[in-house]
Amino acid sequence: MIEWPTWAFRAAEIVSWFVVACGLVQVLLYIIQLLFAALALHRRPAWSSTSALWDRFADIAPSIAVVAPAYNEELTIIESVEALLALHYPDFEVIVVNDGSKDTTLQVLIDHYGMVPVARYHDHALAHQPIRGLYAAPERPRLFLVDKENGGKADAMNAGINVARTPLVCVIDADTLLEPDALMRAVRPFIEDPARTIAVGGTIRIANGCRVEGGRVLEARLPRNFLALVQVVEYLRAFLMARLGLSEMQTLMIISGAFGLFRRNSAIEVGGFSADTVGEDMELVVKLHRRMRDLKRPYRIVYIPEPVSWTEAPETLSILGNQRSRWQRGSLETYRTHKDMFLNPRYGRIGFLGFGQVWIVDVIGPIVEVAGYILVPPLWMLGLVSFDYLLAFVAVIFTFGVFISVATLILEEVQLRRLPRARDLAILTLVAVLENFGYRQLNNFWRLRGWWQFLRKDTGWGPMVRKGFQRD
Amino acid sequence: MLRLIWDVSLLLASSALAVMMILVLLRVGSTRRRDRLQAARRHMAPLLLETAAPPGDGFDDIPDSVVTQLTLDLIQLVRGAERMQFVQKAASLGVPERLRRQAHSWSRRRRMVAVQGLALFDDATSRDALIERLGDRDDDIRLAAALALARSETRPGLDELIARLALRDERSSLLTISLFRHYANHAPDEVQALVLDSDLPLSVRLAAIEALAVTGDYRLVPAIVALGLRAPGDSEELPRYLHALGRIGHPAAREAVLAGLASNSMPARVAAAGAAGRIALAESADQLVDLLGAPEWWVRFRAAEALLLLGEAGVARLREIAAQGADPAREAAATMLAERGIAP
Repeated sequence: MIEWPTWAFRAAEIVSWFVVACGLVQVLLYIIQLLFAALALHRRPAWSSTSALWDRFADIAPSIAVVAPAYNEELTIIESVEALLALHYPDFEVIVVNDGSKDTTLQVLIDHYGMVPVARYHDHALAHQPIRGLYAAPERPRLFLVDKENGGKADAMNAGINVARTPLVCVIDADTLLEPDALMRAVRPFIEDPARTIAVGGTIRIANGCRVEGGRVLEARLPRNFLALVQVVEYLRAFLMARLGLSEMQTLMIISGAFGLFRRNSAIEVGGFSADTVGEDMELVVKLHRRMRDLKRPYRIVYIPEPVSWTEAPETLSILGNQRSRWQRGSLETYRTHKDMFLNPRYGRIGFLGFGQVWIVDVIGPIVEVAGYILVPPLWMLGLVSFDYLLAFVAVIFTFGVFISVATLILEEVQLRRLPRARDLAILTLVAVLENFGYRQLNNFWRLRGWWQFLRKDTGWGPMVRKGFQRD
Repeated sequence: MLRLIWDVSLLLASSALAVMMILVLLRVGSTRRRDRLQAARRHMAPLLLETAAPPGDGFDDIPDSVVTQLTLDLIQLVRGAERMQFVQKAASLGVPERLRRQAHSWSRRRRMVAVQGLALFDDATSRDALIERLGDRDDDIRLAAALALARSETRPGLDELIARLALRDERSSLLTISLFRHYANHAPDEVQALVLDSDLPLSVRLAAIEALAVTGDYRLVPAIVALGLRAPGDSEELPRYLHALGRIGHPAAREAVLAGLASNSMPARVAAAGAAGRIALAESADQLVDLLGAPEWWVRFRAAEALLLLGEAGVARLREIAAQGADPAREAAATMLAERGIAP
């Protein structure tokens, strides 16, 4: 039996307490988000059918440009564009931005739609790689094509925003599948509070395993791949709990680049998407907060759960790991760029609550949790801390983790009921428990890797190989 | 303390799991019920579709909720005489009575469905039920009832509606404009009275102006011109006045539009340029040419558009700038001409 000096016990207790306290603060933040999310869901508007929305909004809905960046999408671009052109919205145009694809994406579009080169007077407010040509389809007046040199997704979206002539722009990923009424639902805050609303985010769901046809999800099903299943729970937690809760508190810090609706002028005022970060979607939202608070203008950045888009989730550890490391890097880059807002009274609740959450969850979260795995059990085994410390650590990581995930599922079932079968609910409940044992630790390892890449100033996106939606 | 953390976490996690198990079981039951209702719906739909006459007694064993929802769905699918037939069928099946009862449900969603359904029946009792819903505790349901009533022949007075909808705050919604538009089509005087009522919040008056502008009612032009000339240059309302004047398109707006073109506010200049084009205000050409060199793209774009709307005189000015002007005016002129297929 080793005789430890008193200071060793003290130090071990301090370290263990710090790990547990950080975990507790995170749990407390999540519980607050859950409560606000429940409140938001309870207060959301009562009308829900698409026909009721159309009836109410059709003659007043502002026009929208849907900006869809495309890079090497020759196999799927026609299906994606067809689905976009079939959206149910009274006044919209689809701006496909070919971001210097190396394959035949451009030619496929030109040939399929009989597109012809046109002149179009457009803005140059946002910086991006040069535009090589603009094309319109005489028989599909809603469709517009921008061909530009390669510059990445943010660069392509900036080009699309420049070319758009509508008050609102909807940015999506090329592989995002929008529900037909997604625009109609997402536009609601712009109709209800047109003077203050500057950005709206919608829900992204996992399409793996779903029946997809013609760019539409015809039947929602759970994926069979375990990693994709875990991501279903993660996305539910991220959107239904975190974003909805933060939105209700008016501290939403991110609108996903896969589906977001922005007031064009506001996006231009802050310089659009930043091309020098992999977290360009979060960075844009933070820039909007900063700008509006600097100018002391009243504004709203909102998440609403009803407009749904679908995306394909990675099904292999290597691709998922790359994605999570990149997301972590994006958060850290945004935090570094805007760290003067953190706890700055000038930025009010964004500085304290918004950035407080980013600091606790994204900045120190993975480090402290991994430190906990490495330190707390050995400290207990060495007899430096009591069993109670180990129990408290297990509580903040595992049992509270199970509670948060299952509580989100309860919220989903009670308020939205989007999972088609009772079996799906049972499976996701099981996954919500299992993800805390193994997957959570792996995710933290990926996030630490993101931290490392951030410190090394890595700038790449890493590979994102898509398997493709299951089509009939 | 440490032990308490563990105990609380265990309690919360096990409670959540227990609740979830109950929800899964409830879902099994509700799925079975849903399947039964869908089967009933499949059985009922062809019966409703195949006969033009009101249905007989064949629906006794079909749940009321299915009858109500299916008939409402069918009514919304069609127009004209066919719609009237479905409305009659629904009435003979007692749908309006059920909706009136449902309008008192504790559930907001059920009340909203009831209000949207009642809007399809143009009878006195349904209208009374909608008027009653103007006092609903939920904003959206009040607004839905108001929109439904605004479309009917016997709509309540606009004053009463504003009071019951609590529209007297400063927040404005496009839905307010939508509501006023219905009135502007049938009772423009009531909407005009709102514009001239200085006791009302500016947001309500602006909504009334925009609603009237859509109808093209030019009687209000002098009043809007006066409001526009009085509005501060950087105010939120000035562009909306100018936009409304553009929608109406009456030359009496000249003075306000010319003043708007010289405004320091970008949104005001954009709206003024749009109005100048719609009114075809020839004397604005010099100012529009100046605006082609504005730092803001929207101003340049609307100025170029307005010059095109001025006809040959405006096109000539654009050609002149495209040939001899400096950027960004030259680019605006040349590209807009090319975009419209007009030779430079």
